[in-house]
Amino acid sequence: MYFISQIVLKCNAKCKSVLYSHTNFYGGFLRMKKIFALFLVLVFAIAVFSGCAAEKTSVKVVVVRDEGADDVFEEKIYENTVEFSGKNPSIANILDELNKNGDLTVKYTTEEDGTSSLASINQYVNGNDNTTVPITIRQWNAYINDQEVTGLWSETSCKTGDTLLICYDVWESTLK
Amino acid sequence: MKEMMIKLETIKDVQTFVSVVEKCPFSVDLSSGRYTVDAKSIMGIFSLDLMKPIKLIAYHDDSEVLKQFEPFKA
Repeated sequence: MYFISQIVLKCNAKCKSVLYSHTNFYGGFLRMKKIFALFLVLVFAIAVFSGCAAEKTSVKVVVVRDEGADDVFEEKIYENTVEFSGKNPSIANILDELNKNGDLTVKYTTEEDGTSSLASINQYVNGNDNTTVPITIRQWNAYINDQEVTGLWSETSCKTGDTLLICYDVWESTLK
Repeated sequence: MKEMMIKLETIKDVQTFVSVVEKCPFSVDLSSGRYTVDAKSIMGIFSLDLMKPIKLIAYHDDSEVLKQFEPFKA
């Protein structure tokens, strides 16, 4: 009887120790899982934060009216360094954003071929005074870092640090 | 590189010409006397003497590209 009770006690002790070691292992596994999950959350947060930071473009936008060829701007219509969402927005995107924010009033016109072109910014309209020679030409032009933009505004993009000058050039031409 | 002489007689001609040129995926210059300007620049074109024919230089090897400028030929 004593012998049997000794065996039962030993078995009990062994089972407890096995159970304890399993519980210990399981607890460790749970802790590892938690740490791993936290690590994943941290990595995700860093990725999202850096992704958001990369998708912003800061551009200095200056909108002026320039009459004649005296290199003096007659009117400064708008000047601000603006942070745009998205990487390297086009000039058209920038104008749309400023229009949406109410900083400028930008209007477009639809051409015969279906494409749209700039009609006016605020009260200044693209066009000519069709009277007698010399005819006054009124034209919105864009310059990025003092370089005239010669491509389409929808296909010309700005990068962070650029200065975008949008100029209402008014000059006289001896052409008809 | 292909060349032809063109004449832009009215403001409308200049504006139509620029709208044609700005769609070209290659460089186009206009040359008058000693001055050469980017043909995609409306301000550059108006700085030329437009009373005389001006030389158009298209930086492309295919002569077909000049066809689109035929309406402005001098």
